[in-house]
Amino acid sequence: MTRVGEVLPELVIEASVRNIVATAIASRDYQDVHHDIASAQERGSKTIFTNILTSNGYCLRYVTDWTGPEAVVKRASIRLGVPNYAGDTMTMTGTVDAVDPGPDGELVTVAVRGRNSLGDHVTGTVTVLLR
Amino acid sequence: MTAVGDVAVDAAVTAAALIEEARSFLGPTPGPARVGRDPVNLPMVHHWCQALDDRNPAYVDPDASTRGHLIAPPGMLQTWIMDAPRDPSAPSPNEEVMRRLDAAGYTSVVAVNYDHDYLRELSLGERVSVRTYAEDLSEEKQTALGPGRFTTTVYEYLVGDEVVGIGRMRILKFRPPRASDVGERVRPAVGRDNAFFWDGVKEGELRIQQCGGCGMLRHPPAPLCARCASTDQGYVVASGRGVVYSHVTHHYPPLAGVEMPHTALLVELEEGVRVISELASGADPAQVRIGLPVELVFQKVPGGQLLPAFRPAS
Amino acid sequence: MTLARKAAIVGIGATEFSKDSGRSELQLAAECVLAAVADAGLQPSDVDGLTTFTMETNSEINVARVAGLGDLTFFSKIGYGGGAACATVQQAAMAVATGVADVVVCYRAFNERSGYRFGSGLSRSEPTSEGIAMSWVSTFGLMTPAAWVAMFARRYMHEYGATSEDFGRVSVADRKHAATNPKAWFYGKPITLEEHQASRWIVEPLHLLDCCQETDGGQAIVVTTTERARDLSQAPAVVAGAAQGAAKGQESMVSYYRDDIAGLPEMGLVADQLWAQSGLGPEDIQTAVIYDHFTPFVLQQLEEFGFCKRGEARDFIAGGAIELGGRLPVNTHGGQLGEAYLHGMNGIAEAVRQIRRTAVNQVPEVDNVLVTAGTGVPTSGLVLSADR
Repeated sequence: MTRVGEVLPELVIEASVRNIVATAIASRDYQDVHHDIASAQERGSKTIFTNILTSNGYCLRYVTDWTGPEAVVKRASIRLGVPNYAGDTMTMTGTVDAVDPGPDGELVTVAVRGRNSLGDHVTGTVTVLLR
Repeated sequence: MTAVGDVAVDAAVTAAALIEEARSFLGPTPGPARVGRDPVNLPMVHHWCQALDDRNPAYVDPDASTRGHLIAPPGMLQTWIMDAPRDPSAPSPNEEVMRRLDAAGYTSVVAVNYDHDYLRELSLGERVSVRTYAEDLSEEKQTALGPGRFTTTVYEYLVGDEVVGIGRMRILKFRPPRASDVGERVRPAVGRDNAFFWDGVKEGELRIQQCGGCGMLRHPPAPLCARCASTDQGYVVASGRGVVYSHVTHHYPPLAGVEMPHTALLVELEEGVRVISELASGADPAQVRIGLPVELVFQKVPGGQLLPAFRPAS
Repeated sequence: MTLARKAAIVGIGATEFSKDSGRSELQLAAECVLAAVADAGLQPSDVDGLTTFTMETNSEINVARVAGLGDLTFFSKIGYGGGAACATVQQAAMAVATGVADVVVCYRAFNERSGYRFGSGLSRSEPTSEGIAMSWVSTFGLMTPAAWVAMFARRYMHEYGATSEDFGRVSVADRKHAATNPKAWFYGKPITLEEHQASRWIVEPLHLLDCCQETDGGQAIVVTTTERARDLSQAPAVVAGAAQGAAKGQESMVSYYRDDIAGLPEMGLVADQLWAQSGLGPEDIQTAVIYDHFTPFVLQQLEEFGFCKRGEARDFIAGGAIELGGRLPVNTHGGQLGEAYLHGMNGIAEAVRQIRRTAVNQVPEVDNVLVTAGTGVPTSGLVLSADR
């Protein structure tokens, strides 16, 4: 049984140029700040950075890595903080925030946090249904 | 003076009118949903899973879960409608709001929140469409990025007529202080006695002159050593670590190529010499104090020149 | 062999001090030179020497021609901005003391408000040794005199616990004196310490009211031998001491690389010479004109001249010591914050008026006045004494 307060294992994600470009294109996000270093710098960023769909995707992946393939993702609510620049490393941590019984199983809400050298890149909650 | 004042008043009136117009487009409106280019498909799922290193077998192995069929990664929901062609003559209500915010001067955007209700899982072959609209528009707020307004874009995802997911992206549309407004930073005068220093900057090195005669480190550099009179001058590359020896924050007058307020630093390097530099962009001037450990970074300043700067040591 | 008391200031003359003179810098120069010559009771043709600043745009020959002066046997320019002010008198004194010239006029005239403004920031750099030296700061956006001084001020605050209020007390004193000087731009406009604190930032830690004015105008000073001075119309202000100083590790405005940057060693060098030459000390000085382009350096100067110990100027000035009626009234004309910014030359004129005992804010029983020139740069100073 899942209990409130349970801590998820850490997940370290390298924000390599390759990962940032690959994930942006995989989500069909062609904005140049996610693949063109010179353009990103012209727009005032240090370098290219992770796109939003990917940051959200990492939060979901982090939780479903832990639950296994039976979990049904019901809801995600994330807040975006500092950019996740190429060359940085983001460490995901998570804690079970709530466990609510429902007709189809348990609704488990995990508080997640992705932190890099600049601070919190992403914080929020992901709710999954566990049957 | 009067003319300038009138222009400012006109601009304010125009901006207020644009915001009023933008508000008239808030809320859901009936209309055709925009249809995604491709249905949910396995090649794009594979691409996503490999890029994010997501090894959940539910997305790629039909026997891996009790479902008995593949599902799409829920995080891909927006991906399915990402590059669908738009009809420019019929902008979505959301685009009408964004256009007016752009026209009112809030030309930059940063996402703040990204929320989703995934109402059901998607299967291969399903074609997703979307209706988007702006849900709210805040008063002008002073933010760290500049004055701006928050607005929430709602994404109503459909398969046929069935709503399969709701996304909400809250963004800040803001008016940035633009680098191009301040002109170009003055370039250093380069001659025989200091060329090695600026050559080093181009290569991302902070070079300190070292006397070939007596080994003394010196900054600013000189053509000969005041201690041993040697004209054999080399250099060492600074580690980039130091402490703030003194600092100022410039507010007035405006200077070409300098964003205001501008914090200049006198840094005592760990090698023992002092250099004038500046606070790296993005670092907080309020953190700066005498004795603060700092580390070297190289950054481009307005005009494109690469310069050494310092930020609080990590 | 000493320069002490060989020469004297016998004439002073100035234009009005304004924000827009409405005439050329050359006209301002000629007007103030002629006014000073007339004040001395001399004729333009008596003048055979001129000294000024390297920053002066009106050359000696142009001024001599336009003002109808005599043949020139001595002419010189001194560098480093306001640091030249007292050195113009020193060079004039050396010239008359050695017989190189008989009557030398020191002058400075500019449209520093309506024309080129010094505080507008460096815009270009030439690959000369001076251009290279300034590039170490200007490239990093440290481009104005206020910014250069602020860097020293911050360190001084850190080392000795001085505060912005301490700097503000200098501004309050200057403006108090200007308020009763009809020639001052800020005549009738004193300020409070609260107003100083509330004034906007120029370069932190300097507020607007830490910074001197910008002025259009001209000021001239006539120097001759003390012997001849006794035959002229005004009571002579004898040059009891005159000195220049550029100290080890000297840079122009940016001597940031010395072991200690909380003092002004070049002014210490001037102080040592002035006391030695004149045979006087801080206790012999009744009033002083302390160069005040920016308030913080007034504190360091009081320390370098020994009016108080190192780091204790804030205590020295706390009780109104530098205001009229205090132990050492400073800048009784209002200084460059209150009267006018004439690169220090108007301060020399005020010292002369104090010696003559004709100042609008006259300090009682004045015998000896200290005058200093620009700070942060190679500089100079004077001790003027009554011929009594």
